Amino acid sequence: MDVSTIRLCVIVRDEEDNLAQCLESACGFVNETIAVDTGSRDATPAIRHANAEIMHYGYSQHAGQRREKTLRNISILKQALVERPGDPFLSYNLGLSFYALGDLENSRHHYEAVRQHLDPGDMFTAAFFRNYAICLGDLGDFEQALNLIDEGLACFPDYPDLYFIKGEFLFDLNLMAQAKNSFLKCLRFHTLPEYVTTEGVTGHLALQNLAEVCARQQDLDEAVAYLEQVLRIRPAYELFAQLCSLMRQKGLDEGDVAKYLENSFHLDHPAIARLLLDIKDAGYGREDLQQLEGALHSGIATAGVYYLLGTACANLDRHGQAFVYFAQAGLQEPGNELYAACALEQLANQCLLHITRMLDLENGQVELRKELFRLTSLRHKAQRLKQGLLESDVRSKKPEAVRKVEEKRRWERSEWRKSKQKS
Amino acid sequence: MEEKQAEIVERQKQNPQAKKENPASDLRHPASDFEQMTLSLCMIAKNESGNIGRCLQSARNFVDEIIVVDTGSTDDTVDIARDVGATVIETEWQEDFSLARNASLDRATGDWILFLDCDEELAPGSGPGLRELIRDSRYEAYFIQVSNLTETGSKLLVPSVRLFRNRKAFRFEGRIHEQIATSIIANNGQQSIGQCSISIIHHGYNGQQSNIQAKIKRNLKLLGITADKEKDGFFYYNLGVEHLRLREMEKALDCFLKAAKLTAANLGYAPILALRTATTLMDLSRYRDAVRHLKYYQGIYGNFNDLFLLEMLCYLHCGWYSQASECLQRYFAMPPAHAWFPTETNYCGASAEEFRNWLQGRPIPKDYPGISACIIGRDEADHIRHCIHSINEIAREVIYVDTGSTDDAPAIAFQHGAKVFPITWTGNFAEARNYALDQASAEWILVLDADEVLPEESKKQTVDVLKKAPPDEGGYILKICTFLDGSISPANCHITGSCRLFRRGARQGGHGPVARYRGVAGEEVATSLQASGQTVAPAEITVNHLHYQSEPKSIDRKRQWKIDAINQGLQEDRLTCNYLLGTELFYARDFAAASDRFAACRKLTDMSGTPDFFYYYALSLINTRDYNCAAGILDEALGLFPDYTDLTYLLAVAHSALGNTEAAETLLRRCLELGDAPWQKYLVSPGTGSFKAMHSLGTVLAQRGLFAEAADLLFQATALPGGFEQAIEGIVVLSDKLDVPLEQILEEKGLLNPVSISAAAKTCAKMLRFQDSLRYLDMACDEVVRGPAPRNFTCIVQAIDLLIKMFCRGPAPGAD
Repeated sequence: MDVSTIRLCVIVRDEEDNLAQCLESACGFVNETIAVDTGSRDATPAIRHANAEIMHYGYSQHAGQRREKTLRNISILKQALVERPGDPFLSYNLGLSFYALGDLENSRHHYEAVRQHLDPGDMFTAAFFRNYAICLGDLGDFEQALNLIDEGLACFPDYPDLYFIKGEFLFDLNLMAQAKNSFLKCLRFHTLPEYVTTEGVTGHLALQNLAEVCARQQDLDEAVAYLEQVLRIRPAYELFAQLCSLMRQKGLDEGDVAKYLENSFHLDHPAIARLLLDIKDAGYGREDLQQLEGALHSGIATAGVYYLLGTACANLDRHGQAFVYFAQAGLQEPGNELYAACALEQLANQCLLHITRMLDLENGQVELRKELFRLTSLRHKAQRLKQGLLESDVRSKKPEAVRKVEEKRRWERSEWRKSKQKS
Repeated sequence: MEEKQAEIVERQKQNPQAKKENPASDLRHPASDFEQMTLSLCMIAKNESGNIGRCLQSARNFVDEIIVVDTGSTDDTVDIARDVGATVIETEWQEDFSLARNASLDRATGDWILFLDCDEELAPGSGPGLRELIRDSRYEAYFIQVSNLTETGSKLLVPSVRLFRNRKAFRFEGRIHEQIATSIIANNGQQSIGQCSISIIHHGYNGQQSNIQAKIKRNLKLLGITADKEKDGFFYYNLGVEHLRLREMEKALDCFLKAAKLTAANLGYAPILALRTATTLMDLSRYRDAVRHLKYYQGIYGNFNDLFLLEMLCYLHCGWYSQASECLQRYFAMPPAHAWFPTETNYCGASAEEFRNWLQGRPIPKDYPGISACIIGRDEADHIRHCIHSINEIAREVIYVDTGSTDDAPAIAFQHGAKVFPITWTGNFAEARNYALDQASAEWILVLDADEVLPEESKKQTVDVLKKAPPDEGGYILKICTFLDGSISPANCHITGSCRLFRRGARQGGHGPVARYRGVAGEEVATSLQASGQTVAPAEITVNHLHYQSEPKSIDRKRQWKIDAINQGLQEDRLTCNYLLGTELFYARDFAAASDRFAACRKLTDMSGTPDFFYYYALSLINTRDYNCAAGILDEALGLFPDYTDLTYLLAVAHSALGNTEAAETLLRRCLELGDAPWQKYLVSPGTGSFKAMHSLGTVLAQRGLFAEAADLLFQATALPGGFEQAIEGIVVLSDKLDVPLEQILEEKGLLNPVSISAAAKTCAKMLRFQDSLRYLDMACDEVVRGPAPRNFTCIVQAIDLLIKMFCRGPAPGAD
């Protein structure tokens, strides 16, 4: 008699933290496993599993296929638009498609066309507001994005995702009090089945963001309270790290933090040790800065050193100093886009600090608000440019030292994960 | 009484589902021997979790039961209400406010009903008054003052019926903006509604709350559902209000005017309709219409005081300070308005007292000869209101001749009180101006362009000059300041004298006006005055010419009209034609073409040129780097006009560019000796005899190492209007050479303030010294934050923008 066989098929990309666990969970119940890696840049390719065949296809092939599919969809949609010009649903889907391709400008163009014919009664209208707002946010046009969200809220005052996205924009604009209000509002709603929603927007995601807002406002106790709430629902590594970091900021020493983690969350010692080590290393602490400055003083004034100094200062929120260092790196290597982008980002950060300080004094001052949007948008563009440059290893000007440290951190995290699994 | 209340609420809390027993019996005071009146709070709610708590808390201790009809909340509104002890009835929203409210009334068991909206609260202190009111009342209902906080921060107080006996006949009517007063009056007459001192605070429409847009959209939707036959005056009024909230002024006005046709003056909402119509007209800058409207309603309503306040504001916006002041005095002298009429604590962000203070000293007593202001213009919608505003106070009439506007300049002029005369443009400036003179009727004429403004100080000066004018004096030359870029800064302007204030007719009467303009372009009137035997003298009265503050397209367009007029009308007079075209090209910054024109002028005549001619020619040559030629021209010119400082300054610039620093230095010192040239004789650029020369000389001396003298000069320059920023630039350079920190230098001279420090930041940015620039920026921000209000943020924002702009251009290789 033929027994049916089951083959597990998994496509992965950049899942170094998860793949092993995934395969492990199913391996007792399937006959064979095939995992296809479509172009990971993290440690995924290094993962081996006893019963699984893991195939690695580079980035270009598979993603290319996906891209072609989207392009094909776009041409179909455009054809349909010719037959039914102005149809908002078609425009909406074009907006989605271009966004998937990463073509934000075209995405915006088509989303904007939807607006003229928008009917609150249509099924996709709520989702439209959500998705268009995200697109505008990615473009760094926070002013437009906020206006759109408010319009959306006018039609759908009980759509929590809109409050959530609004909160994120306000957070980027450093308007902390308003951001907090938005996230608090999220908590008050129940998600409704008719809305496209991200899970957790009325729960753990909102709480997480509230913790971050409070941390920014130096309300450490409140931040901790929110984090604790989240961790009871979803114990995640990054959140534990954040919690530890906050505890340390509050002045608890490592021993107290360890005790607290043990009592409140029943973490075991190896896990706690990993956490403490990781946050100590997190993003070039003060010791690293001292070392680098020492190097500088003894005459090693290369672009790489300046870059590392800039990054260290940036992580410590010393934006002005970071800007100066990045600018120096840029002087050493004119034409290096990464240094220029980093410098611009830090300059924008520093100026934003001033603007928000002045806005605190005179809320709603028109000139300052305009400048706030302008600078936030500028910083956003610089950040995206920077991310883009950092992600492409091929073109990267990232110094070797930086790459090494990042690898080390990744290893720490996966070790922690492994230790959690064992316990 | 309070403890009993608390007890009951406690019980309700523990047992929210339990049916309420008759609350009246619970509250009967054992020792009383008369019946207590009971009060029910009735509300409707949907998704008001942010607001409803505040509302219920404000009233819970003064009511006996709370009924909340929830029309489908998806947040925790219902839970909050139940927590406070309310009976919550969950229904479905049926697009009808009255239906929902009446549902709450149906369930109420109290003797009296109070209704509040979720975004309202009982004003602190009003609670006890409530119980008193209903205890022993001869009324069926009461008007309560609802206080609305508007976006501008002022409070609009509107009397509304919110407290009434619980009778079956009293029910709400109207899908939206539901009214209960109608049914009460129908049953018991108007006199059954009393006044009281209770007040309610309405938070609904202030900017802090989210979802205003949602409410507006909802209201519009509900109004949209109204059947045609129900579209009465109240309907249009409410529709207009929603449009107002969306800042759709034209639509709002349309609705209000429709409403007015259908509204009798004695209806409850008629006064506020009149008020809103007036404010909407004013928002659209239709002041003439607004005043007419206000006067009409002042006649109908005797003591509706706010109407006079608004009338005052119209005059104020048009610049009629005397009339505004008079109107304000009348307003203050009025007895307090009847409680019927809505009042607002302030309009346009200021109270009546603040306006009175502001108006102090501005009205000008009319004890001088009359003035007709004559203006010609085309497509100057942006400027014309400012122009007319600036002269309305002193001019008896404003004649505006429109030479073919395609924008709404004529309408704006009309609404600001001008007499508008549209004519066809024939390419002849003098003709248009003379037409305006023909329409005037006063003794004196003041000529302004539509893009000019008479500053406040000049008004008094004009009046004084006219009062003292000798009979032989036919006209006065005024000081016209043309600002060459968007700013009103003395650092970048040209001052010329032009005869703009003159007598209309010969002083012995005579036929028609004596004053006549001549010249298709470059028109002037002084000749005609002198020809009739009168004198023309300069007067120290400034007029600001804001031509360059317009959009570039608009500037180009005006230039083209002028050039067309010149080409068309001056074909015979090649000399004037070339000269005028040269000046237009000069201001268009086409210096090469301008130089050609001026060279052509020289060829056409043996006569030497006017001082202005030399100035334009030399500066054009300098801007095309033809320094030698410029020097030659200037030497010749200075022979003729040795006191024209600007020429000396230009010569210094030329020599400096040629490398003759010694000659430049001598010439600059000469400039300082001469001081700024007299504007009455010459076209003057302020600073050539003062701060500009100081800065240039300072730079030259610093290069030679004479730091002390250089520093001295630069500090002198900072004190002069217009010299500041340039001087700070010089000081930054100096501080480098002196190796003294800039902060120290600035502090010693008492210049350590945000403006100086941000100017220093700008200078460093221009020099690509970003680190220094950021340092000064930080310093400047600290100073601003530390300092008292009002704060000047502009200098900081400008410095930030410049720093970013210079940085993005790319750091210069090898800098620092």
